[in-house]
Amino acid sequence: MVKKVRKDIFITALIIVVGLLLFGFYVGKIWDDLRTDNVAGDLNENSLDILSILINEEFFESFNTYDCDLIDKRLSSMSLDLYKVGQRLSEYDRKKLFEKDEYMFLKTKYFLLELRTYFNFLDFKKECDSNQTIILFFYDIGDLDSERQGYVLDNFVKREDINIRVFSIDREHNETTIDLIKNYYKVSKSPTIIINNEIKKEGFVDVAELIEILENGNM
Amino acid sequence: MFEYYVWIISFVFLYLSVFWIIVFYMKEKKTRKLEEYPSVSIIVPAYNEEKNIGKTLNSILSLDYPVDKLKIIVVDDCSSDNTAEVVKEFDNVKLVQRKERGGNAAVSMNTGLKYVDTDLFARVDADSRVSRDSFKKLVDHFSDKKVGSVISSILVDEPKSSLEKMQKFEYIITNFTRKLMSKIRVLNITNGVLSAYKTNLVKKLGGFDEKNLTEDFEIALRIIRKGYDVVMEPSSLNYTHVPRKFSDFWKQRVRWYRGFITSMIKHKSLLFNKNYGILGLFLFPVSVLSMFLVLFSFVMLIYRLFDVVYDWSYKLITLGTDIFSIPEIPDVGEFILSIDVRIYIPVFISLVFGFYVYLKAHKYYNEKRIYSIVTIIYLFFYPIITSVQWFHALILEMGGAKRKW
Repeated sequence: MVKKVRKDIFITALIIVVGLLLFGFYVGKIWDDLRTDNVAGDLNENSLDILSILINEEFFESFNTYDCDLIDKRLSSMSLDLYKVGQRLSEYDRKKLFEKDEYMFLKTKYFLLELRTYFNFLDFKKECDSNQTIILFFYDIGDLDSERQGYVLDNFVKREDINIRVFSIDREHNETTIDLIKNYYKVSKSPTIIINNEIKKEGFVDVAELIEILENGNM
Repeated sequence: MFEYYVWIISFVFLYLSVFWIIVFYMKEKKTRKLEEYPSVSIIVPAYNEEKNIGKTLNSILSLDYPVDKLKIIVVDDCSSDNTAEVVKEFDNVKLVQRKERGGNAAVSMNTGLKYVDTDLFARVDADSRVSRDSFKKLVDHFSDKKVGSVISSILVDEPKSSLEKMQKFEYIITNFTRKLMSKIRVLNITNGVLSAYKTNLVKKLGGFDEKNLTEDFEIALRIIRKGYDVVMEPSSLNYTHVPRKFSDFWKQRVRWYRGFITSMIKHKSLLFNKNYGILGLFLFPVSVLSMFLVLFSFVMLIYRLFDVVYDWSYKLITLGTDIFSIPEIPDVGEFILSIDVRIYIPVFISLVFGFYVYLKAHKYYNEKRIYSIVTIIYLFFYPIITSVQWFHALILEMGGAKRKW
């Protein structure tokens, strides 16, 4: 004896579940939009800050003057903002559901702003003879040593006894300016850190070694 | 990878929740009343139950059922305590003392079955308590010739510890699910607290499987294969004691899961068998899939634990004790945006529907205490414990460990 199957129950349940999952994807899409809008808004503010700093510097150059305190404050605040945006961007990128192109665009914008700020800091260091340590950090996503180096540098940024600025660049991010900088510093592996535009360290640099470099460099 | 695992689990859980909600709102066929009450033998398998059996027999003797149609048989499986002496104090109760220890309820049930000469027989475990009207409510279902067995609702008797309360919640959900399964005639289990069977049918089937750790599940599968239905009378409320100690709880669950595995292997021909309708095409495959998902959950649990420990160890090696610094607290907006929606949305939707079923079940059984800490522990930690128990059961079955009660 064959038992009858009530197909209507299965089909109704399937329609409801698919509907619910589509609703879930829609919420996920809204979330991704909110995230990219949030980061894009912050990056736009940073772009404006950079523009303002550039005009400041041009003004100083035209009138043959330089206000180290002002530039220091503005750059420090900006690099901190960028650092936080960078952390958020990488977290959102890890958790994204859609918006692949949008994230790529935001990352490009972020890395370019990082490089712009990095060069501003180098100029500032030269002009004002600052003792700040400026590090350009090249990493690869998914590379264990890069991840460890990130922990160390994050830790240094948070320490109050060390005056350090870190600018992180994804080595494999495809962008002409990034390629230019990589070629200039001859970056061939990750992690690589460039300290004050003078010292290049390839491979993982641990806490003790980094402290030693900073102390020897009187930074 | 973790998000794919969450999506699969959520899909299955959500589909089942929606499926049961639809069934819940379906119209139920009314049971026709029997013209006269059939004669029934109640078999009570007992082993070292001197503390409980008195209460159990008193509750059976208080049943609202014609006395001349009720026969009570206690099968004592060589108890080393005073179980037999306690039973002897009751008139109208037949005591059968086994000469050799059988070691499980199936052996005692088969022993008792030899003394059954009534149309129906029922099983009541010696640590259970039946309510006065429970039996009358059950027997009407036998007016349907296709019904081979009728089971009742099991509630936890006087839960005190958190573990017992957790099991109480679990029993309520289980009863509710069984009620829904019964509604569409796909119930595939009987229970030891109070289940009634057609005597001739079970005798024809050769009685209970003495090698199976869950003979009450296995007999249901054979009843179904013979073309009969197992149904439930949810308003027939009966009470049982559940393990109070975690070690006893663990042993019981591992035994149940081992029984499930062996029964499913024995009756694998039911899987995807259209002759058994929804049961063969949907519920059996889903039961097996659920078992694999639970096992996979165990693997994922270990993987996630390993991942966290590995990450922390790596940070510890890299940074030393600096990793214990207080993390920055994000503002509310940042916190909301950082929520991993790929994981939490499916989990949230599934939980909402799961919780709806949970509320309906509690409402049905008039259970008002649903907001306690125990519920939260039940919802979040119980599945983790269950996945480890399933893994333990599978290892024992694969390793050919002796099947002990």
